[in-house]
Amino acid sequence: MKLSNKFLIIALLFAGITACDFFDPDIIEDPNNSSLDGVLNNASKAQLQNLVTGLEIRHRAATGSINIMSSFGREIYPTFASDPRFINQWIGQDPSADAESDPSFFGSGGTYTTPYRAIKQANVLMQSAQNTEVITSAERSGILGFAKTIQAYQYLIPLNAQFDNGIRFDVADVTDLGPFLSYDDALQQIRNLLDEGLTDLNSAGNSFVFTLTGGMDEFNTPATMADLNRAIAARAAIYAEDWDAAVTAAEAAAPFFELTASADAMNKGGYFVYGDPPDIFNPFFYTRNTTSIQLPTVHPELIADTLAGDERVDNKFFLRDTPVVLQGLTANYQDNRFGTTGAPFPFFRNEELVLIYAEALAQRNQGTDLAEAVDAINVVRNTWGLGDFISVSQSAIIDEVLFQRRYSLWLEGGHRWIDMRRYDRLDELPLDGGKIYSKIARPLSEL
Amino acid sequence: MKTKRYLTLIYTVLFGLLFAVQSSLAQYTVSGLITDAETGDALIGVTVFDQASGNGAATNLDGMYSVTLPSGTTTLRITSVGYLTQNIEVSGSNGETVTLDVQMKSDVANLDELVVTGLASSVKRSNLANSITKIDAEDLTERVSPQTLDGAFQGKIPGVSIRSQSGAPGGGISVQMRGVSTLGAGSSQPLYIIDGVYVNNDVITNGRFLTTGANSSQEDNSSNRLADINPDEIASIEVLKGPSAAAIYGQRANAGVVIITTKRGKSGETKVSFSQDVGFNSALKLLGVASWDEDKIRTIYGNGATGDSQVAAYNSAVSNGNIINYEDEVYGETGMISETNISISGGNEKTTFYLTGGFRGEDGIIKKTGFERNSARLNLDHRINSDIRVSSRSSYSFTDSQRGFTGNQNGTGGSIGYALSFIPTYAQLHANDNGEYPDNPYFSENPLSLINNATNDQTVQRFIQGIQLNADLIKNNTGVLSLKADGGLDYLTYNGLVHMPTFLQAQKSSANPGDVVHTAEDNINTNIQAVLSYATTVGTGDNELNLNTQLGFSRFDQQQNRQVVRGQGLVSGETAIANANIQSVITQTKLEVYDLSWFAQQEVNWDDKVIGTFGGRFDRSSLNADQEEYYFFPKASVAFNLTNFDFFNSDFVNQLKPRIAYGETGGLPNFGQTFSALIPGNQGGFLGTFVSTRDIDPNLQPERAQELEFGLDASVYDNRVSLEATYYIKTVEDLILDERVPTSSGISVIARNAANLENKGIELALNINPIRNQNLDWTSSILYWTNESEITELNIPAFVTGGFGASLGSYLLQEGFSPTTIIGNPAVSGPSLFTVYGNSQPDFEMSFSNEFRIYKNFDFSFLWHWKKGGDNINLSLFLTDLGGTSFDWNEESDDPSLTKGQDRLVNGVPSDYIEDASYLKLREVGLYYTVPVTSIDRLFGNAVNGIKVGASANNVLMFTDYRSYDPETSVFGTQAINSSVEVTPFPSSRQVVFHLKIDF
Repeated sequence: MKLSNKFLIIALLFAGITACDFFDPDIIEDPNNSSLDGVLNNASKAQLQNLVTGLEIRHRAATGSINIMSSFGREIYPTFASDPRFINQWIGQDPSADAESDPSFFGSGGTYTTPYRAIKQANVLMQSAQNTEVITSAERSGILGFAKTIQAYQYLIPLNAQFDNGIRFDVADVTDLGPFLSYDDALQQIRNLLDEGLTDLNSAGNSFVFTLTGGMDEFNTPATMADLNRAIAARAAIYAEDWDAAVTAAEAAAPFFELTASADAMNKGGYFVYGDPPDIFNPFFYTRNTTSIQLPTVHPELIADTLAGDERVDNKFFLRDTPVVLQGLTANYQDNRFGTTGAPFPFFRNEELVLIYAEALAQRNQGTDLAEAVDAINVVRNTWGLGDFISVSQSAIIDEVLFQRRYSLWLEGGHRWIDMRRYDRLDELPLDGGKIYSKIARPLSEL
Repeated sequence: MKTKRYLTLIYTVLFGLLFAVQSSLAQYTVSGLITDAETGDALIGVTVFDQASGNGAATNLDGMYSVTLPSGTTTLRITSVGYLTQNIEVSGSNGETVTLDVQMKSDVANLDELVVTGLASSVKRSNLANSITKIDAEDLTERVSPQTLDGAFQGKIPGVSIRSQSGAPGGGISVQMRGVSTLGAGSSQPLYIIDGVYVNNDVITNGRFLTTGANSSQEDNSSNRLADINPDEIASIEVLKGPSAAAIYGQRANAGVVIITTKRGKSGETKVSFSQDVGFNSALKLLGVASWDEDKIRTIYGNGATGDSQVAAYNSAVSNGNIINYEDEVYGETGMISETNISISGGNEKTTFYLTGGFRGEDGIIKKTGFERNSARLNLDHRINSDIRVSSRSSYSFTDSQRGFTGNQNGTGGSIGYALSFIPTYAQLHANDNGEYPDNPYFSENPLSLINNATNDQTVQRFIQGIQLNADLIKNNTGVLSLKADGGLDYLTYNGLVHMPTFLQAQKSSANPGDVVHTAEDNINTNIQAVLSYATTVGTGDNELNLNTQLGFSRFDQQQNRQVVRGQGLVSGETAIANANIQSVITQTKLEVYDLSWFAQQEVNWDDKVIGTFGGRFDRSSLNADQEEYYFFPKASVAFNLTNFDFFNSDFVNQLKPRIAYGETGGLPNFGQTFSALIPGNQGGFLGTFVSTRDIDPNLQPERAQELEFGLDASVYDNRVSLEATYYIKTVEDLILDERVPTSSGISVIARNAANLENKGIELALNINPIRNQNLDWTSSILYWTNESEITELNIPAFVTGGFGASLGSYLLQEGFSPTTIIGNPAVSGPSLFTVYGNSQPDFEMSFSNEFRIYKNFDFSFLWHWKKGGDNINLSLFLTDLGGTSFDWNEESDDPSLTKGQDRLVNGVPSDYIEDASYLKLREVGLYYTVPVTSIDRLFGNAVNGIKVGASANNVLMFTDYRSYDPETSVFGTQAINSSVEVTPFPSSRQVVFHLKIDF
């Protein structure tokens, strides 16, 4: 072969490969996921809708805080046989277990890390809504109002778990996080956020530019979302012991807020919805009588304290054929609330709002407040087959509110633990060979 | 490492023809006999060549040669593989016949062996400035019958720590070169290159963990894909252990490079070779299980109803003679091994070929486990003309592994060993006459049912193609300009099936009984490379400098698609997803990567006295945060052959070569680590995207290793004693770690360049040929290596990683500590955060191999491998203690009120379960008999050229105090640091194999 032929071959070889960006290929984009940068500027309506659903998905993860807080408040036994730490640490049977000082406390991420992920998602949604021109200013206000309302709900979770450790409120920039605020300051910020959200919703027109899942059917317009906003504001107000504001907020939450003695009225509210894959199952659905000891079980004191005729007992507690026995704890009942893996899980029901209203009135104790509080309590009692409660004693009425909250809100958000702490009654909770914590230590990642 | 003289026979004849050029006018003849200096045997196929005239010849069957030379004086170069090259001056006048008998000295130290040092160049070992280990086929496959290629490396490469992760058939081996080179972001495994093709050595997981409740795919016990390669096709491997040698491979070489060359045909008569191996697997070690009696049952189950029923069960088992050692039953199977290889090779002076087909099948020591590999290869080499050569390397393989269910599980009992840990000897778990297994009252699954009814099947089809072109573009008096272009592809498709039928105990109690996971992955790697090199000589005589300059470009591309789908709630007996009540897509992902490189290298050789090389490589990769940035990786080395200097005058010392080398390599971030992603999710029929919990650092750099290597190679006494000593300092900078940011940001981790670490080590290789005569040739080799690692800088807070958390033993990442440090509860104040219990890195490793050739017909060899130190987290013992079944559970402890098993649980978690994993293993023994040619001729005439029979064994003996099946184990598979945790693994097996090989 001649020299020139050889060069020709080589030249052809190189010409062939240079033709297709061989020496300078394009940047490779993530082939599996859309990019964050792609929505932060000039997001389309479809992208905003995805972020809204994304916020609902992150919001739904709030169920991850329930088992631990409900164990602290002795609503349940965490009878999960796969790991002895559920009982050792959560019930506190292990002498060295201490949620208040252990920055890596077992299984506490759901009370901190998870809600802050929802808060992050809400921030990204708001930033994207601010930096796009495809929506009107009313539509933008709708997004901001929804995002702030959900964000406030989520802020309350770490605040309740961290309690007087305080929490960070300004968390928009990972490289420049805001300071830790005291419990009172953080709570005030959350209530301000709700008020801002309400202002946004009030200027959001008649409909949203996005669609919410079926679990939000009660709140799928700016006006009804404002009701949810006020319901959450009422919850925050009783935490702040701002009773007047709690009454006002509850009333402002009407028509969602409704003093009607019916199961439908009580169960009206916001729900997390579930489905078959690619959706997920309701994490609180358990086969009745399952032999796999991987479930929360009803604390025996709840069963012992039930009132005759209370329909909530049968609705919520299932008597197992064989008791669950684990690490010295015995429970006869498991959760009976959900019939299928796809059953929705409530994150805020009118029943709670009615009891918030009762508590706030009883605490405010002006004019006819006590009588109205008793009426509100009886709306709940009558719904579940109990006769009227009669009292003129402020303390007895408050006790009754707490008693009703214990059954009405069982395993819906760790309410019992928060209530007992609010009223300084943690020492009344049963020890079960362990200890009662008042808060969870600030996580290791924050130290 | 030594030559196989008989193999070169045919080569000789053709070589002779090639050089049988026409005679010129004034010429004379040189002839003589060439023999082995030690044995006196005539040597066949030795080349005698005169560079000046281009004339040459090769010795015939009697060791005789004859070559015709132009009158005058010239230098004859006499070469033969495995012998030291000799240059002898001859002179003669026209018509004269000169007799020149030559005695060849064996190249015991392999000084003439060619070793790769550049992307288009190689040098003689005697001129090498790095410590590069080369292993030939003889040491890989001709003494034993290895399961996988990497398995055959064990004990043969100083500086390399090789750990078999379980005893499951089909491999699963981690190869760590010169200590830790990544903390998990980059590849912990070396880059494998077969005939120029960058091959995929991924551990492809199959989602077994989904069905067993184990924590992650790392616990799937999948093997690395080198298992697809038939070791019998391999001619040699070269191991570039550290950056100083591997710098020519740039950004993918932090964990070292293994260059694999497959066999090629030789011109001459077509040669057919058939080999058949038959053997068996059996458990290397069984531990035994604790016995039970009424007292022990009462201690564990109490005096209540449970205790009563257990005692009744025990008494009934005793009276019926049904006390059963389930360990023996489950792990006591004998697995058959069969391997067949057929190869046909040959060709002419223009074209040679090597065609081979192989089959290996083996059954494991657990019923229904096994491994099968079918492979075929065609290697072609063609010379277009005297200047251009092309070659093609094509291979196809199909492997099928059943690796069973071992290791970790949660809540499902989906691990045989885990379930066994809780089963007392009086349990009755056998199937009834209908084949139905009773529920296991002691755990969530009956392991006998799991073995017989569950499926874990993985198949891989793989095609590897390499093409190479070598062309001399310009040849003239001043030098040679040549082009070497090569490229190839490695395409594999993987299919995995894991199936738990509906009637299994754990499935029956699930809401949706029956669980199936299908995994499909296809991966294609392509690479192409072109190098221009210019070789020239300047100066003459003592001042002669050989220069070789290379310039090149290479590109690598990878594309991968992976789908994992799962079905739960199955139609009985069905495994197709459509038969499932719940059908879910677990994973559907795509991976796309490219690398680009430009490189240059200059080699300078001053008369074989001083040999220097320097070069560098500019690399860019789409895996980097900045995909367009080129990173520079330099290298330089120099070696001094003191024996070649005039001042050095010793017949005793054959080589004395101090050497020094420096190089840098890179480690790339994992795919996806540099993307800021929105993760999709579904809720209530809506599709959402949410912010990933992983954020990115836009300034992320690739990991960079720098290595300085010093060495001394010496050989004395006719090369019969040689020593290779190396000391290296390897630092790895910009190690990528996930920084755990405050989670109130909504972000959990950001990958950052957060640490530097240093490895220092010593490697010694002593090769001796103590006896070499006609009746006995004994070669012996002692290897020793040690490495120490330390994190020298950590820019993020110290943290604990791996294992199952500090309560059961974990690893510490902290400045001033080795990343292999094992810690555990209780926590302490101070830099270690927790109590330090050990270190998974061994103090040192040594191996001792010997080969004896007796009466030229018997070959006997053995290889001992000693690993001293290095700790494991032995959670198998923890589990059997919990179940009361540990082999020593009943024995007395220091505390008179507790047995050993109780004492460990009460007083020794985790300290008693972190233990020394030293071992001494007799890894290989082989004995072969080569039937003498005269006998073959008598029996078969000319039909058969050679017959070899023999027997060999792998993993023959193990001496260890370690309290489980094998100190070599890893429940998390291939890991940079989290690699010494044991959870009820597949026990190791001993393999005994009988061999027959016939050459036609």
